[in-house]
Amino acid sequence: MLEFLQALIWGILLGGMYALIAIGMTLIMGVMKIINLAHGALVMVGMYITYVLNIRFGLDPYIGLFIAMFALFLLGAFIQLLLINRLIDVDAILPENQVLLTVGIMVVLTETMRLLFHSDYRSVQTSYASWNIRIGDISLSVPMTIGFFVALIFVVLLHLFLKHTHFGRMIRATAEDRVAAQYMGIPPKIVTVVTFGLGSALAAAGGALLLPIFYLWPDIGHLFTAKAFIITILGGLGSIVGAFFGGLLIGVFESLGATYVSMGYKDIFGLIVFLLVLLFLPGGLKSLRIPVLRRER
Amino acid sequence: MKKTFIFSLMLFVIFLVLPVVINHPYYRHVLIMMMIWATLGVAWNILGGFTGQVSFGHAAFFGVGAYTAGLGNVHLGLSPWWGMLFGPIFAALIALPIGALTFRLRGPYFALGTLALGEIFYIVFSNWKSFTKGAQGILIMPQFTDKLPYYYLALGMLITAIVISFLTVHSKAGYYMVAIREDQDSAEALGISTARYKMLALLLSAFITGMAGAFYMNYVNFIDPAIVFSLSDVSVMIILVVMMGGVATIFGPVVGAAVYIGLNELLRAQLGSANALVFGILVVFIILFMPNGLVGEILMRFRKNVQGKKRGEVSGTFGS
Amino acid sequence: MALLEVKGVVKRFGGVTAVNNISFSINEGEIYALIGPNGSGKTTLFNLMTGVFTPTNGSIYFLNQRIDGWPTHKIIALGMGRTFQVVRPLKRMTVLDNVMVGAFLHTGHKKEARDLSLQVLKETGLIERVYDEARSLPIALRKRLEIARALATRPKLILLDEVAAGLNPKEVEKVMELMVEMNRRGITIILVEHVMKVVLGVATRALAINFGRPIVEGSPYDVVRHPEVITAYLGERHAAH
Repeated sequence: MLEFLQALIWGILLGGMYALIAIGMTLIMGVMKIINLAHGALVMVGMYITYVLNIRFGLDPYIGLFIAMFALFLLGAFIQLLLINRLIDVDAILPENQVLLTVGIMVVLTETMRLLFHSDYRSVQTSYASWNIRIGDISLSVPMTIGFFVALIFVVLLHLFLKHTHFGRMIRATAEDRVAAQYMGIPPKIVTVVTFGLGSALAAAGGALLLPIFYLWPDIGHLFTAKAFIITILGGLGSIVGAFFGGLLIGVFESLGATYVSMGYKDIFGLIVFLLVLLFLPGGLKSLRIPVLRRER
Repeated sequence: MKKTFIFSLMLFVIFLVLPVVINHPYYRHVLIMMMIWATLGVAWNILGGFTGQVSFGHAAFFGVGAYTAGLGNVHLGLSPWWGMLFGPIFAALIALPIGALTFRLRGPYFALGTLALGEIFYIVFSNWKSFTKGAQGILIMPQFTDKLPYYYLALGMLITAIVISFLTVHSKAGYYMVAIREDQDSAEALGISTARYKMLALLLSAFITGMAGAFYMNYVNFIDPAIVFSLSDVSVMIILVVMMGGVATIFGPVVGAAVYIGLNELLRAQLGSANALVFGILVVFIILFMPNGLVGEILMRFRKNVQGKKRGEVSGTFGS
Repeated sequence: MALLEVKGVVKRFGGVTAVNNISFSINEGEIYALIGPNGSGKTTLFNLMTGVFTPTNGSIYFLNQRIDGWPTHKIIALGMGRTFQVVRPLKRMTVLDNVMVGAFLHTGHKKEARDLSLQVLKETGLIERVYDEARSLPIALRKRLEIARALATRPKLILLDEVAAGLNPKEVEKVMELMVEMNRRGITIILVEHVMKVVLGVATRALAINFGRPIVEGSPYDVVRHPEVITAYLGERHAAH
């Protein structure tokens, strides 16, 4: 029982941070309707920035996080502005061109980092990396716990931003109906550029929070991209809340899978859940919401 | 059509004679790798370019083909060349449930579904150590010491793939597949069983991909799950190769493979490990400015100059 | 013996009843018009007949076989053809190839399919454009391509969904001629139409529906003048006349 609780809690804490990464993706997918296979690479770049700030300047990852977020916001905005925006008018046989462009971007980002840092595993050493808090019989890892709460704060802030600010409303309008939003004076180019920047910044934040826990190497991006997708689809495209709970779910599955089945197979549970959701619940967790208002005609 | 035939025949003769001229084993190796990748691209294109179902999980078929050849040798003592027959068969067999599951999904969701399935195969083959030897991989004895027989086998395999692709595309099935790509609902309203024809495209695609996998096992003599079931190095790379060369053309993937392997080898000599970066930049460039791939662009330009067709000429959709 | 029988068909989508107990039967050789305001359920009926949706209640018989629940391609193969309200050409294929896709339904040979297609294209007046890409066609020709493609499947019954919409008077007349000719050759037609000229000009019988329910069935002239039909289209004031 204790082992179960321990694994459960670890899973929730981990899931919270996965969720932050996925939230960036669900935002981007919800607004731009594109599949961004470079998302994990963006996380990876954010992690490397945080790493360098720690190794070279002694900056704690939780502070370096903000700088990484800012940098990735710019990078993401740049990518959307100069590259992805161009594809909207291109007519190709397969609409998956956009996806493949993001693959190209992924390769460029991954290989650039590989050139700079080589493929060695890197990690940050922080004083608190192996600290644990004890609550009763359960031991909580400090970086995991801090990471979870920071992620939670970001999720709440994003939610408030989207709901209550003017720009947030513009983003939601563009996500719902891009053309209609245009007719109401909302410039799609600006919205998409800022959204991609925002999504990238959140991805960087998630990565920075995971830095004390994961080893870092250029290909780690692939791992995060896959997880982000699973969580995004699980939660429902464009749903922040869905992505958060989806993240928790995936974190728990992984943790329980690693504890009770095997380390090697742990990722398969997320994939199977993913397939099941794709096949049987395409709207994701979001579609399970009970409507607050019911209007019968 | 006549022009294509003559052109292809010329190309065939050139490739037939090439190893006589090029006898340095390194260059022969490069050509063999090009032909493997060309085969993979041609196979993928039947499902992707012509039927419009973009699979991100083709590594599953490649890996199953390779492992069939390898495991047949390791567990049953069979010559790995038997893999060239059974590899494609097993790849087609796994294609049946994969298609059954994923064909209910459309567009990008299909892509994600195939991606997930491909990854599941990777995880299973990495962890089922008793059967697959896991991450340790499979090592077999090389069958030939010289590259020459491998070259001709690869050439034969590529030609088989191209012929299958060509015949399919120019048949009734080909028309149906393109119709499915252009508008699946319209296709159904014309009496096409889209489920059946998508599955047909998948089976052919998986079959040829499995064959390439089996050949790969026989050629490089060592495989492990990270090599043959790789999402980024196999599944995604196949798509990029086809995209660069030209989706929905017969020779596009061949050109794409030549560019990919050629560039990789050339750049590796010059730039060391920066070749992957240059490749990535090239991909971005081509997608932005030549979305229909190199061959696609050439065909479009050619078509603009040649208005009006001879009777019986199939439309540009089918490439040549 | 009726070619097509729709018996008490009901279709609900969640809380909305799109089709509410509609029945009618059509004999071979008829040109049957289905009219009603937008949202009255006409296209849903077409979708029910072609297997895109399955009825919540009721049944549909075609050529004496019960077809509700069948997949679309099976119904089409049995002998029903359809066009779409918003035309859906196979854009990157040529006009000829578009029609050949239809023609392949009854043959496996390219030559046969091509010959049939060229013939159909001649009859629908598209022969000049056979080698053009479908996406280069203007709307009027796209509509004709849509019909030609359905014709190539050699249907016994063809469902035409607003083929006259968006066409100028001359084009409308051409479409009417085409319909009459098709019918003369033995194809039964059901058409959904807002353009009354077409309904009154070619239809042999008509059914008016609104809110998924039948209002009146009869000769086109009678149906069109029925007070409830006029109300449905034009509002209360006009019905008084």
